[in-house]
Amino acid sequence: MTTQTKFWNPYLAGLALGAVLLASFLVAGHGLGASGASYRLGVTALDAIAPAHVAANEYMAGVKEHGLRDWLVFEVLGVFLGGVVAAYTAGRLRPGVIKGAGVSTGRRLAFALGGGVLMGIAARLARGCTSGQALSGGAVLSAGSWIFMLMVFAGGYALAYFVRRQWR
Amino acid sequence: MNGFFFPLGIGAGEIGLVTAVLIGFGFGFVLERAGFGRADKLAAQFYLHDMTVFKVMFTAIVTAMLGLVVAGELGLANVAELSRAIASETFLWPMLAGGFLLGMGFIISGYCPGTSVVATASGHLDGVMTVAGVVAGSLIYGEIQPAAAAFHTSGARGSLYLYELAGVPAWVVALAVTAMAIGLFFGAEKVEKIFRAKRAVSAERPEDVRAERRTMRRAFGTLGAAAAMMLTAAALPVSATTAPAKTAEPIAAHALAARLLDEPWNLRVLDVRDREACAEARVPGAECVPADDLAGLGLRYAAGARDLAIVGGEDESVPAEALAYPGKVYRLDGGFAAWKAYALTAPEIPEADAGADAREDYKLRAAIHAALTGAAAAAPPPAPAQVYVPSAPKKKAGGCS
Amino acid sequence: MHETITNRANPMIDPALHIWGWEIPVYLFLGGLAAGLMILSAMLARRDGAPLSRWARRLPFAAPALLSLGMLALFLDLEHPAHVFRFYLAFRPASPMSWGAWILVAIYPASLLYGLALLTDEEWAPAARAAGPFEKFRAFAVAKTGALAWINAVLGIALGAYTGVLLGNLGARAAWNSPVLAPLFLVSGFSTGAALAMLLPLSPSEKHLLRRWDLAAIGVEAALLGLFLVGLSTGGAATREAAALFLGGAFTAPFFVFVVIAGLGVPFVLEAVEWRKKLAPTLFAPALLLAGGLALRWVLVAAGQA
Repeated sequence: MTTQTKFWNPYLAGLALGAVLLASFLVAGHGLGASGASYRLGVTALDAIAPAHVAANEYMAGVKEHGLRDWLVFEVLGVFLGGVVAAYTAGRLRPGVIKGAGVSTGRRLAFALGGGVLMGIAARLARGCTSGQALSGGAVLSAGSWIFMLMVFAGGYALAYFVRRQWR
Repeated sequence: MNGFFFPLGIGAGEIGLVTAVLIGFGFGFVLERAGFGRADKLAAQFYLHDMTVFKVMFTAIVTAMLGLVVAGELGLANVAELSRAIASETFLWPMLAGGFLLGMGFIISGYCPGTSVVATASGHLDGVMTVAGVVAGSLIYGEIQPAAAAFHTSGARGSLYLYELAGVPAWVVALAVTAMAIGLFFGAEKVEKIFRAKRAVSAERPEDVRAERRTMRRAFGTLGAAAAMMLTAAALPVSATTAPAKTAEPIAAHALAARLLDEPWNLRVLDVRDREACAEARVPGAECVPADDLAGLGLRYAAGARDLAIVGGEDESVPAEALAYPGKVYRLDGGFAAWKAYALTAPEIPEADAGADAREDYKLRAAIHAALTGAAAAAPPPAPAQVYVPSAPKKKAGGCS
Repeated sequence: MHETITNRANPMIDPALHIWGWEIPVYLFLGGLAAGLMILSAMLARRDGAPLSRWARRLPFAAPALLSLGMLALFLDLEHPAHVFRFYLAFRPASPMSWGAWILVAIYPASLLYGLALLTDEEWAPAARAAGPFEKFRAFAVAKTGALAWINAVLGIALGAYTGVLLGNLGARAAWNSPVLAPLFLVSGFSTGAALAMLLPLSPSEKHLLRRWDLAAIGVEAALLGLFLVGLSTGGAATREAAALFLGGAFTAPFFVFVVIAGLGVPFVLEAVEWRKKLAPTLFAPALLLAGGLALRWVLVAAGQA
């Protein structure tokens, strides 16, 4: 058992995150994102199984233009690597399930999957998730991004009371 | 090149993919160190005893926003172009619904799509499940999108920014957001303190648990009301200011001609008169699509990058199908008759003493007429009488006085 | 008027280059792994101090197993598998393929005997009853353990270098036309071999040694990759074109992302921190190293045929 490094002060972490975001804007001309990569991964996998089905769907067929050779896909690969290095060097890289005591592991995993499905749908509908839409779009003051961000907090607070057992 | 950096950076091509990994590495590293690889830390935001999510997110937004404004002022970046590349266009209704749904998914799973990747990288199995869920969910949306296409593009507002809504320069909004964020940070610290204390007590006695439940309910009620108010505030000006976008803007024949000459690639012209009339004479580059056939073009699904100009007959109404186009829609003022009178009729030669504006106007019209009708170039306007006008004394250069 | 070119574009005159698919990179990768494990098992046995742990004693057997898998992949790639025996009807000193064929043959007895030598008597006992004539082999191996370790190390180096020479010898492929490939593949094989060994439950002191060797190997590999790119970009027009494939061209992202960043940089950082901060070892670093080793060969084979 190694001692864990404490989490960064939230404001300093925010400054660092802002610096990464700004670097992404200025150096790459891109915002940070995540859900776009998941979508590409999903469509590419589906395309390998049922190419005709994907080709028939105009919305999905657009992904095939450059498939996984996409900025966001590589960025998310970087997120994973950065996460591994950060977690490991902080002594936090450990297999496990994060949950409150009031919920079984199976239930927690089912909730994680279900919430993920919901977010996958929502992110496509909103053209981005908390990274792409709220964080990146918010920083360039896009009106839609700010609406989206407010709604994310609204949705979270609206449901928080009902799923509170998961976290205690 | 826009200043120091490439037009849109080096995000394109193979080198761009390498920078993507490096930037993503920084993103993932910071997210993990902020504590965002743990669902309990993220979910705590919604139970108010740990508002790290809010603090980190808003500090990051403010930092990047101010940095971008400064870079723009220094000429290091073309902010308008960057903003268009970074943010998607605004689609009011899907974004409202998507945001709410995503918030619900957030509190159910404990992650957002980005942080679930970091959780996976930290070895958390619940993070892996969320990653799988996001992939599955986006595929599900891909399957239902064709059926929900109308909602998918509803409330289209194009590229819309808060400073455009407010009608002030971007830096004013940036400062306002910064001030708001700082105020909210102080609020967040207070809220955290209160709820941490409640939480510490509640673990022990049942009456405290009940009290906590009351406080939570009250807090959620207040927050819900505040969110609803903010939403109304956010939604109202949007629908008020952009409602006119649903009608086509009139464009005068001369303005249309100027755009066709200057930037034909930014304009798509549709002639909605009947086919015979259109075949006989039309605005150069116009597509002959009678109003009844417009649906076949699928304008509502188009990207909307180019502006659309509708040329009609005497009837000046614009078909609803054309109005559904996500980009800007113009209608030629006065219909084709106006175009004919402007561009296909030889202009009158102005008097010798006509003003410079009239002379310029004549030159342009003559050029357009010649170009469009194949007529030989019109006679040049008579030279004006030479009148010496002393130029106004030049203003002293500014500098730091 | 039609002009017929009779002397070119004729497979008898301009040999049509066979396109290599997944089989060759997999063979090169497994061959490198086997080479690395042979060198490592010899090095581990030669160190002073504690006796080898259970899994370290079995390491020599991994080499022939991996090599057989690799040969299977190679076999799938051959157009005339039935003609393989011809390699062994002659030895051509100037042909690396001939060298390779004979090295492969030598590896099986050498590594198997060495593996027998490292087994303890208790481990050998259940097999001894059924072994019969093999008992003699083991007695011979145990007597010659030191020499076998040296033979294994030398054969490992030969095999690792040979996987690079095989590519580097094909002058028609500009991207492979580099003398750096042999040491590069050798070091990469050593590093991936160490990574694979680190996935096994070895003793802490053995893991510690492996990590140190691996860190050094990653450093050398990075330097060799640099040399490789410098060598290509300072060569003739064709090799400069090949270098451009990695420096902005079609293979830039796979090369830098999968080989350099994910395959070398990140595991280096992870292992270095593991060593400095004395953290519990993670499986991520070896897994990334193995993926990076495969990616290196994959990218090079693909880029050479671009």
